[in-house]
Amino acid sequence: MLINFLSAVQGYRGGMNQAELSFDEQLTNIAQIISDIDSFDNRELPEMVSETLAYQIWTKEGELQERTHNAPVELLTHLENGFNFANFSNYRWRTYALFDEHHQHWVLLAQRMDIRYAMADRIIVESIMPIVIGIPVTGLIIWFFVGRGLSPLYKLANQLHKKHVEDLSPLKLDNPPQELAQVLQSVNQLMQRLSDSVTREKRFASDAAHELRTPISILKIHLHNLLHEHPEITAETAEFQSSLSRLEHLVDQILALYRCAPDQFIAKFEMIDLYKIAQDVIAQQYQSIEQKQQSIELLGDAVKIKASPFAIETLLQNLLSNAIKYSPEGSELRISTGIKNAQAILCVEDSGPGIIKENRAKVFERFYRATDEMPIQAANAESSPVTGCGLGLAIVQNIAQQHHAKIELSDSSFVSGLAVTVVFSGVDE
Amino acid sequence: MQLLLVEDDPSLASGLQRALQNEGFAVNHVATGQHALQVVKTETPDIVILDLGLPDIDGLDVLKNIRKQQAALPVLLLTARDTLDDKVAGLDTGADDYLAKPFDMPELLARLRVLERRLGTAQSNDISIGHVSLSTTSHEVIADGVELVLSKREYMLLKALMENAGKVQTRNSLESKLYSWDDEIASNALEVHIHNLRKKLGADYIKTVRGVGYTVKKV
Repeated sequence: MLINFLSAVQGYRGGMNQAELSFDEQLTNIAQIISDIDSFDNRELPEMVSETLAYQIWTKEGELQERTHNAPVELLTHLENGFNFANFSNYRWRTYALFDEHHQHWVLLAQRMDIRYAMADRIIVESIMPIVIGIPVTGLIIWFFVGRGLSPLYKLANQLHKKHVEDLSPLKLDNPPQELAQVLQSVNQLMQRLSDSVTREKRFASDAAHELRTPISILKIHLHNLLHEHPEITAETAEFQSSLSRLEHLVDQILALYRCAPDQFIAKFEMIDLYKIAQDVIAQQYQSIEQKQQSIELLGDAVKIKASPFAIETLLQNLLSNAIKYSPEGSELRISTGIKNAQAILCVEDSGPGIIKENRAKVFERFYRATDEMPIQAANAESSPVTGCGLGLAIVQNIAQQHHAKIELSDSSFVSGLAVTVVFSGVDE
Repeated sequence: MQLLLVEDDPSLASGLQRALQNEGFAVNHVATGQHALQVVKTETPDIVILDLGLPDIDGLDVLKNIRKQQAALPVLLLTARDTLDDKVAGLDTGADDYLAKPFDMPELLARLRVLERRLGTAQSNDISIGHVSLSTTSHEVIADGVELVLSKREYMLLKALMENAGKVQTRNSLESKLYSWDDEIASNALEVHIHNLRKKLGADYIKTVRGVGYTVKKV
């Protein structure tokens, strides 16, 4: 734009110079013509021209022979062949002196400078004007069409921007231009490949589940039959039984961890009631509680949040099974739900040894077990060995992250024990 | 009681067959969906135990086909898939129950007994827990040798608790078993029935799990 403008200015100046030259040439021609016309009467110039032109004819002896009415009576310029400038009749004039050898007289011709400028200016402006107006108009047109041309690109960028992390569906554009169609096709092919590989991985998890679960089922059923037919070997198979339970638990937890990992798990969020889920989870695990003669209570009211029911159930299953595991026989457990500072709260309290403050951050690491840190006598004091696989709280952490929930560890309200509180950011009344 | 076991894994099938035979069931075993449908057509069993992961036909399709032939035949699904969606899909397709692998044998037996009682053909229709025994055919309830007089709802409540002895029944699940959709339920109706049952059975027989529901302890 600026360059265009500068070249227009340059063109204007060049044009003015050119016009000057052609006006000067015109003056010489007119001077010649005036000089050549014999009769003075015929020397009358057209009215229009006469206003802007003036001339005098001087004899060689220095006598004014003739002049136009607008020319002064004195010499209007030096008697010297060529161009010059002069001021008279309140104007500035361009003058031209010509000595005619044939007639032996001087022709002094003058043309008004302002008229020359005005005419030159008009000619040049008229020739430049279309360009000067044209540039911004062209700019607008270019802007409009480039904008239009790029609009599919903006739409594409917008779609990409809005895309959810786990949304691998193809991008859609109506009538994309040819160049963009290629990009679109490549991006969609990439999406497709990514989506396929995610599906394959999920498929792998479910295949692995089947592959691992069936052999465990087989071990269990044959152990059951063995015990049924040979009840006398119960003591010998106790280790077998407990290892099998550990294996079963580990497989479950690995699959749960995999399914609940943020990048794998496409949560279907819906309105759920934390209190009701707590009821269900307690009911599911009641047999383990009963086995350890522990007592459990659920306090609080219905708390509705938007969450994945499967994930929240898994979260609570893990917290409760930890609470059962780490609390001694005959002790108390408590789950409570509620709303505090407009945030939904889910809290699981146990009567176990608790976790000292310094170790509280560590428990969220995979394969960390609280018993690893426990003093030996405390670990031995447990009536039954604690058989965790160390994945429980890592799963809990994953699920909490997906729900933008915080996990706080503190002392339980019982004599000893840990309180795990999950604080959800939003609550729906 | 004739069971049809549809399971493609030979080792699991043989173990299950033996365990079920030990419990007094007659067990027929097939390894493919095709076979299963044939057997259901020709010598209809009393209960089908169906593994969803079959080599030839998807288990849910086998279930659909069984339903077309035998609308009332009880089917218990056995599967390694255990997500909530799978469960819902299984029960929607018409399964009577759903058990995820790896399962405990006592759990499988308990569920088979519930299906058996539903058929009304069980050899023993009595559930006996502690000092109370309940007959699902004659609806008699005997505590310490004395027959009790129970209202219909009290009987249904006790049966639900005894059938699931050792487990907690949530208030919601008990209420849905006792009342149909259009029944008005007074907010304390359940407590009233429990209170009456405790007067007849002794205060400790039904235990309250605070905030959750009720349970009868398994002996």
